[in-house]
Amino acid sequence: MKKIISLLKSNLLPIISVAAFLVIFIVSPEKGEKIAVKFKDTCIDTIPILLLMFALLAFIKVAMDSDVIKNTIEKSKGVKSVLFAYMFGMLVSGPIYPGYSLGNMLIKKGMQVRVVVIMLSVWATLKIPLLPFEVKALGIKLTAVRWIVTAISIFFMALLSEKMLKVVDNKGE
Amino acid sequence: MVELIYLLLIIFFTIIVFVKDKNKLKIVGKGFKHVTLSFTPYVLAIILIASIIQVCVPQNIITRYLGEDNQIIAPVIAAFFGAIFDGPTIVAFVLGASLLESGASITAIIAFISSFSMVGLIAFPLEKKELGIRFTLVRFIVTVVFTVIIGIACGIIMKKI
Repeated sequence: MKKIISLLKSNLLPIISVAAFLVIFIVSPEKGEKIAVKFKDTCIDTIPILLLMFALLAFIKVAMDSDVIKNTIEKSKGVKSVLFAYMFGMLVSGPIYPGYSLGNMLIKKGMQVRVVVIMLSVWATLKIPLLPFEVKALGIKLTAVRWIVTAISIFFMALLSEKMLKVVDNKGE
Repeated sequence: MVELIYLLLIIFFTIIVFVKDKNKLKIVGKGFKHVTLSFTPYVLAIILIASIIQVCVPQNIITRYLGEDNQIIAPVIAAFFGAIFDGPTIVAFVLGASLLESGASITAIIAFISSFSMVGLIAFPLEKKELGIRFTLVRFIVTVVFTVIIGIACGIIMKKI
């Protein structure tokens, strides 16, 4: 029973999506058929690039599996630390959750708040391993514009966050 | 064309890793299998949800709330929905592309993608635990505001180029 519940929990989204499709298909077979056709066409379009992206992810994960990179960002200062934060954030794969404890550790070791904000924000949204998929989904022009605008915005977000945190910390004292 | 470039890149990396260290290639293979098995159900599910939205949600509703005529409200609505949902960024790209096809504006979609990936209400407790409430709240507020700005900026630039 516990295994079944655990399986259900870890596959909630696929289960909900299939359930929704089945309900729609029963209520309106015509709409169900249109959804099935749309799903099939999108899968045919998406799966090749998805597999290539997964392969790229696997290579990057092996290259990134080294403490050298984490130590480099820890020991860097000033402009170098900002650049490393960008590079690290862009190359790392997976969800952002491990980034929180890494950020905590970096702040405790004296890293500037702006560097941690840049690292977390870039990690979240500018991912080189996902680039092929993003280009396929949004087109190369929009992808390029999004990357440039977001990268610049993240820098200002980091500066503003650092300033605001200083004000909040001063008021708190 | 994009697929061909990446296929050549993968072949190139495979040859380099094979020549340098065959054992690492086995690790890459295991990693590929793990990522494929863990991501694929998620991606298929979101493609299904995107297909359902495209077929069942009338286009005029998408254009009314997320369309070109709503340059300020659309990104705010999109950023709000992006903030409350959480998941792999790839989900945002699939949904975003689907909504774009259905008539949503670039402004709204980029705000949605930015917010979905950078703002995580579900991850808020974990971030608060590691980085403290002040850091988390400040980053949350600044990021939410900037996701709308990023959306609007991308929309303006895409119109000009």
